[in-house]
Amino acid sequence: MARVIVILLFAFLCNAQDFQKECMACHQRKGIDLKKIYFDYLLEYSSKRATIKAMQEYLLSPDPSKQLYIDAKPYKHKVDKKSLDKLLEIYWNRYTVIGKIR
Amino acid sequence: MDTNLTSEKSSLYKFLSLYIFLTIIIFLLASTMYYKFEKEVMLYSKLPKLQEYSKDVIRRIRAMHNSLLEDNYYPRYSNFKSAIYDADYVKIFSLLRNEKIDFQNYLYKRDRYIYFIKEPSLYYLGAKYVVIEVLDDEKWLTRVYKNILIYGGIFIVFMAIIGYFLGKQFLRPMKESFMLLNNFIKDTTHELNTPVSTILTNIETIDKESLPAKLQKKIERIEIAARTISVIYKDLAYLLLQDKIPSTIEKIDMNELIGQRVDYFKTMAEAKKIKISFSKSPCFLQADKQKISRLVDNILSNAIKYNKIGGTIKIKTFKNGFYIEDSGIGIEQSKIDEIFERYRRLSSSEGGFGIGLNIVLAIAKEFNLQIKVDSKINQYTRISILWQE
Ligand code: HEC
Repeated sequence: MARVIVILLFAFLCNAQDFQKECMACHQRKGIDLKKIYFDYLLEYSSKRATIKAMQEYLLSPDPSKQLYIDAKPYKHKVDKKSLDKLLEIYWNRYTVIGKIR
Repeated sequence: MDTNLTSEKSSLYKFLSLYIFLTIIIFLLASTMYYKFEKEVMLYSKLPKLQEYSKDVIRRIRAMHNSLLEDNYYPRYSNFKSAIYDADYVKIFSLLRNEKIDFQNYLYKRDRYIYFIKEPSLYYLGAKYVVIEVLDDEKWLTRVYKNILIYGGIFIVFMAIIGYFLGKQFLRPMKESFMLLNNFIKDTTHELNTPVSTILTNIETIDKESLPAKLQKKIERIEIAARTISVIYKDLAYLLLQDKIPSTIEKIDMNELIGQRVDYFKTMAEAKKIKISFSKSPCFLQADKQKISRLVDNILSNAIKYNKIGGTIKIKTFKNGFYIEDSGIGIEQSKIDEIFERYRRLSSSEGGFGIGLNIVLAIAKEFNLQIKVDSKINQYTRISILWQE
């Protein structure tokens, strides 16, 4: 039991670290707030499924007409689809409002 | 004669049940339509308030959104409850008492609550649907029930009155033809009496001995026919007027009465070569003479009618009763009860109105007389009339 928790915690931390490394690091460096971007996407797409789908579509092939963060030139993210799936899931869970409203 | 109307009555009942069924259907339909209409009216009357509530909620969640959920306190109001759902109908946050939301309907009522679903132009906090829930005081419902009760009641009464007149209309032609027939019979029987008695009194004055045998026979046949008509007339008159003539009770010497009646039927009996034997003992009865002679007449005429040629009729009086026994076709044991039913004939081959025994039964009932029938098929039938001292 305890082992399972340790493994899960490890996996979670790994994921969190993955996200920190793969996404946050660059964004913090460039001062592009991912939390703000998250809320902008939410405002536009509402559900988890639609939001993640839209992000994925944009990040893999940026379309200026669909860009939400307009303070920068469209940036083609260098990430493959499979790891992006995982990272966006972490991204969503990190900022989701569900469970955080009192 | 009331049996004539049964088939018409059953079709009247069919008509009435169909009518009642339709009335109920109309009533239910109108009530549900009225109920639905009133519900819609009530819902739309609440709409401006609900719009306002939803705007309050949206204003609040917009602020929460803009603070990037640093401010995460969801608004609570005393007069309504609310919830937010995302585009995939996933609950984001809810204060509702009932979380089964029908997203196809933007305004509806379930149980005691009214629901209103508003779609904000922008999905603050991801909320595509803002659901407002308010408790319905259901004052409109009591009003609806009251109106259905009042106007439904008026409607039902109205329909009942119309149904009553329709039913009457329905029965009228039958009633009319029935009355016509009844009056016709009454009139004819009355008109019949005079000519028949004229024939009979005239025949009685003829000195038959002085006539040639052939003519004598013919006169006898006329006399029999006239007497038969006369009996039928008296029976009909009794049936049609029995309830209108009060009985006059007197002490009747049954030997004298039966003797007279035997005399009356003598010619008929002779025509069938029937021998009548009459053994008398003192016999008296307190009753209406007219009616008792109807009773005797009917038993006697049946005894002649159903006898064989050259048969016998035995009549015997005793202290508290008499019997008349024929040597005729007899009656089956199982049919003895049936023979008193009106219009039933002893055997279908014989003519006659078949009302005779029914009259016997009615008169016997009136004067508390007991009727006993003994019979052996093809040998005899003995009808005994008995009374208490
Ligand atoms: C090398 C730096 C860099 C990395 C690493 C990076 N981003 Fe970005 N990201 C940017 C820049 C620059 C923009 C702004 C340009 C744009 O909007 O296309 C941006 C914009 C975005 C946007 C907004 C898109 C829009 O509609 O404007 C999202 C969402 C996003 N990044 C998600 C991610 C995620 C998730 C990761 C991790 C897989 C990630 N980024 C990794 C540089 C990076």
